Amino acid sequence: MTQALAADVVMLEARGVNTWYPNGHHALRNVDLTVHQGEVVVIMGPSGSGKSTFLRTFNGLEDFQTGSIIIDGINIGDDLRQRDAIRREVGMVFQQFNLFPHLTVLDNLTLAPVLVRGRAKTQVERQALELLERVGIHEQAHKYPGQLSGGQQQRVAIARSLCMEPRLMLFDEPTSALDPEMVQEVLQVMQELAAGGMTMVVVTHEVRFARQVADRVVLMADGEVLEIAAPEQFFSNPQHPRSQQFLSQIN
Amino acid sequence: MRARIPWWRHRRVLPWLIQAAAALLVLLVISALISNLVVNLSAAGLLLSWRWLGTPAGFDLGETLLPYGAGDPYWLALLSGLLNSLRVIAAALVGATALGTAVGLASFSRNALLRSLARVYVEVIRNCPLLMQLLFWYFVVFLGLPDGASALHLPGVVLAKSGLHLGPAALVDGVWRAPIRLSLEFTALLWALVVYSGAFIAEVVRGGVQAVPPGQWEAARSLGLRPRDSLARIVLPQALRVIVPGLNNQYIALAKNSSLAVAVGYGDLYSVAETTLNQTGRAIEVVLIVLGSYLLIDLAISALMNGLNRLVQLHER
Repeated sequence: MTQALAADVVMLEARGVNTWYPNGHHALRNVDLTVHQGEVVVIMGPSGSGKSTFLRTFNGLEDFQTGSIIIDGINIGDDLRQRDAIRREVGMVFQQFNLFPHLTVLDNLTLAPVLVRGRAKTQVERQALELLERVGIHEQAHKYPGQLSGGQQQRVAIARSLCMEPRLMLFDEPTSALDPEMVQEVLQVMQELAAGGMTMVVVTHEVRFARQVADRVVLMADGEVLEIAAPEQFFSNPQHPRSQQFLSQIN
Repeated sequence: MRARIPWWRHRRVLPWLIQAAAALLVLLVISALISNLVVNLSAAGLLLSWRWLGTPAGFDLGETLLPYGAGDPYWLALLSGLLNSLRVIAAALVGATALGTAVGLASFSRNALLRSLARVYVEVIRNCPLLMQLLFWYFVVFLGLPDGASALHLPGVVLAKSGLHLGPAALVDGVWRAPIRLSLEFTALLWALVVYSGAFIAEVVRGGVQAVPPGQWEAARSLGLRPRDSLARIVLPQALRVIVPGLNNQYIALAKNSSLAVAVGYGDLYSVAETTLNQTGRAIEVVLIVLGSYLLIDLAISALMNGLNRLVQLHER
């Protein structure tokens, strides 16, 4: 379905990205990735493969030294205004949720749209309540994050990002910190989001999610992109030996 | 049939007996101290008396909030000293908090020069005795200030050897006139307290900000919040929970440190009390008044800060 939507509008274009950590470690080696509008790309790979680092370069949380990343026509460079612009357009969901513990669920959602986009608070609140209803936790709107379960917190975090009306959503292992019985409720929300046409880049170990939702699967190891393939091909007939090794380890 | 438990092995009786013994010991020590005091005082022909408080003090104070002159009684002199203490403490609390917060936050700056300056300030100031610093500021810096036309002046502020003049100031016959004049002694003491406590508060603030998980910065930045908003709306409110108890300590220390005023001749409670003691010989009464006053000031600060602490800890779950 999304294949047709993807057409040829490019949402994210990374070319020849190299990152060295301050300690000299070469974390990303010449990586390329193109993501089209409406596409869901899942990045997999063993830990330490650079997949989270790569994801975090897309909204400037991680620096890169050479190469270029263009998101929705905006080049991530040294221009602070463009970096701010990209962060407004790109939503991010973290492994540890990173909700603001001193604010209610509703305030977690409305803070950025009001402060950053300068929108009217009452209008944002209405939208926030709709979003919370969509992720199934509108009854908890006036609670604090600490009163919610992990799965509920992660769904709030997704709604918080959506409240900024992003063009691209990044997910950094969104279910890795959850108890097993809560994984599904978060994946469900992500699946609905994908069905709604959201462009998504997801770092995850959830094979079932990748099979069912991804348009393409990317395998990274040792800071390199080794294979990019449609999920059915990637999981049934991986080409690169590292992909085969990785799949045999997680199955 | 339950066996009888001897008292030294009884889970409930034993702690009670220990408590009772400790209480008895404390009472014995206190009564020994009091009887010692009474015996010594009566042997010296002295008895605790407060009548001297109403007699004229006979000494003048450089600056007072209340109308006070040498002919006024001791109690008014002591009260004027207390008010002078409270005045410098209140101003120093505000100044030290502002300076400490600014320096504490500067230690996170991306500007390396600013960061190093913050470190050097903290390390130099908090490792030198406050008394030395106070003497340095007063005798070397403030007493060395120029006066008259060559005084340092900014719009609304004139700093001269004659003191700190606030508000629209004018030079009349070589003397600065302004709506508010703060004495050089007050200004030097205030400055020394602000600079000294500011260094400690900077460390408290730095520790508080550091205690907020980096994920909070990342989430705030990812939502497009600018660094200023991330700090003010996300990081500082969470840092306060760690900062407030440490701040309480620094505030209490500052209030007690203000008694070093005597070194530069500022008429605070301690300096008035010292003169009073010398003139009346009423050592115990004067010491009791001074101790009680500082105790009350610090308990008041503590109560306020504990209230603030409850406020910032309140929510979250």
